[in-house]
Amino acid sequence: MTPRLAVKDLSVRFGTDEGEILAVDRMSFSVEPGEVLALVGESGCGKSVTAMSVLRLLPSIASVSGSILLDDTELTTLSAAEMREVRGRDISMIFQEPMTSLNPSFTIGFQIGEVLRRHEGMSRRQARERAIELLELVRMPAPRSRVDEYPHQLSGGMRQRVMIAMAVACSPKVLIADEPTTALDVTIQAQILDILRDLRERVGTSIVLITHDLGVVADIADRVEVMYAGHKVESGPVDDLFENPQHPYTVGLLGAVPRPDLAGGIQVRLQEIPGLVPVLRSEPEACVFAPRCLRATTECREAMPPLELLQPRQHAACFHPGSRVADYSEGVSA
Amino acid sequence: MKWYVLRRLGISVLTLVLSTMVIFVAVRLLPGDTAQVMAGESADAGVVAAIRAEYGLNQPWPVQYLQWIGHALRGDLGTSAGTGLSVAGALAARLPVTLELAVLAVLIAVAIALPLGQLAAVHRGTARDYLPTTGSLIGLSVPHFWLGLLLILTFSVNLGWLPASGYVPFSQSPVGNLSRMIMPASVLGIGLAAVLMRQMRSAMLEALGSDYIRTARAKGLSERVVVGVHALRNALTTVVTVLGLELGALISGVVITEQIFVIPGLGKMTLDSVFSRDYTGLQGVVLLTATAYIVINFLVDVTYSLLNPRIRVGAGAS
Repeated sequence: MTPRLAVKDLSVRFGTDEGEILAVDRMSFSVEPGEVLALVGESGCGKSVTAMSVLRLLPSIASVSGSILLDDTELTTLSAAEMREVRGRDISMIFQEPMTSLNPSFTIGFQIGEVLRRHEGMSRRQARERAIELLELVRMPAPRSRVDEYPHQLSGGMRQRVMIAMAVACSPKVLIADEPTTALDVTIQAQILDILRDLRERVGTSIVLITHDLGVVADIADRVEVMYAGHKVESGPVDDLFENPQHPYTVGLLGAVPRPDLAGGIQVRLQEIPGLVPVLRSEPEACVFAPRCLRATTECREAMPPLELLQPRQHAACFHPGSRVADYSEGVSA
Repeated sequence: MKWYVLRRLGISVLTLVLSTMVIFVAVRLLPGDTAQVMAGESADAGVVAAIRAEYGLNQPWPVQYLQWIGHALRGDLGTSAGTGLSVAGALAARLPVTLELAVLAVLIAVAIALPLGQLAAVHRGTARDYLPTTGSLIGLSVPHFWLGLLLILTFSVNLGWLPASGYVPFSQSPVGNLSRMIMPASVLGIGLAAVLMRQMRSAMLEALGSDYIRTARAKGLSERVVVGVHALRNALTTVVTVLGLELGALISGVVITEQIFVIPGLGKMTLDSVFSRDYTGLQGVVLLTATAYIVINFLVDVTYSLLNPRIRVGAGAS
């Protein structure tokens, strides 16, 4: 099966006053039709930048290289006008901040309808009717009266439903959801994930889910790509990866999550990973995770480990792979 | 919405009442004596006293105030001590003149400021930003009287295109009216445009940097719609407020501009009344100005709430 969306060797650099920053370095991933792919990692590891570059929504200080294929269309070479046809129709996006992502000056019906008028050539009246249907689809209570309300009249969860309704209005091929549940409380989170799952089944939309929340990943994703400092460090089907993580960063991430299912006492304390994600100025020559890694050896600090197939369906970029849990209480070996 | 408007209305009325008191006292604190001015420099004390009695100037201030308010509520603002004519009549004759000047000035200001402010914000950090921004700095720095004289020198004295001063009612000769109003209106409009342009620029920049603009782009909307609909609507909220507040500054500009271009409006009447110690005339014209200012602010608040739904409902719920 050909992938719906295939990103290959994507690099994103930002020109800032303090010099160039390498936000994403030769990142590749692909999503099949109807698949949910999770991009996972800490804040600042390049997940959102990756997503924004797919839609070419990054500010002009960003320079992007690599290839982004939607079916057979190369998105990086499309004209600005052609790209606008893709946005909102073939690929749409949900953002992390439902509180600020809707325009405060327009009704939600107008804002949902706008996509339909733009891409489907609907009249105002048709768009409004369809907007009501879409609000029903995302399980908005009382959609017929809500459609004429303004964003500030809605709760965060309802606003995120509006964002989803807007994003799926044209039954997109790919939906990019950037931390869609992070700003919401847990019960609403579950409902939002439910809606996304439902859409995938109903419309066959591929979903690229960006999150740092492994609970969400376990809940909805088919496959996972773990990112660290702009690099892919591990990828694989969600079950395999959770069961048998290979990269020490993945191991660390999983160790930092409470696992009530392992109540047998296997894991007593939550583990943190000391340190922060580094900001890269140029392409690194050694493993980007080495400074925070307990397994790091001279080799790790001198060469960049390639992404290799380590398990039947799992890739990781590490010279010392394995799922054993690191014990940071002994300190990072210098 | 209804409660919001009613509450604003109540505040406006209260402000108006307080301002009548301030006007009344302030006018009386001016140096000089109306009765003396009316009677003439060398009049004898008996004549001055007779004039005082006739105009009620010998009564205590609270009595004078209540009389003034009582009459004002019936539309009678008294008789001008300077001209001997009805103050209300004089105001009615002059108000349309000043109103026309103000409307033209605002139109000129908005026509300059909104497109340039938007242009500067969209092309931030380029020549299309620096040129209007620098221009607005010049517009802000140039005093009204100087710009007025400069325009008269250029277009009337040197080029001979426009009459230097005077006023012709629009109904009598539209061309004559506009050819005389265009320079004073530009003087006022340019100053206002400078302020508005900067507000427009920063409001647009703020709007363009917000998350909902990213959402609008992600929907595939064209830049024209993103900027001209999504950002503009939010930027206008700020600009309308500033425009309302600036109308107050416009009133003080009117006083000077009407003097330079010899336009028989409220501004000129204000100054003339001060020079002739015409309490009744001055009170009347300042009262009208204050009322205009309060009404404008009320309208700004209502407009603001129409543009910004958050205010409307927030106040309605309380």
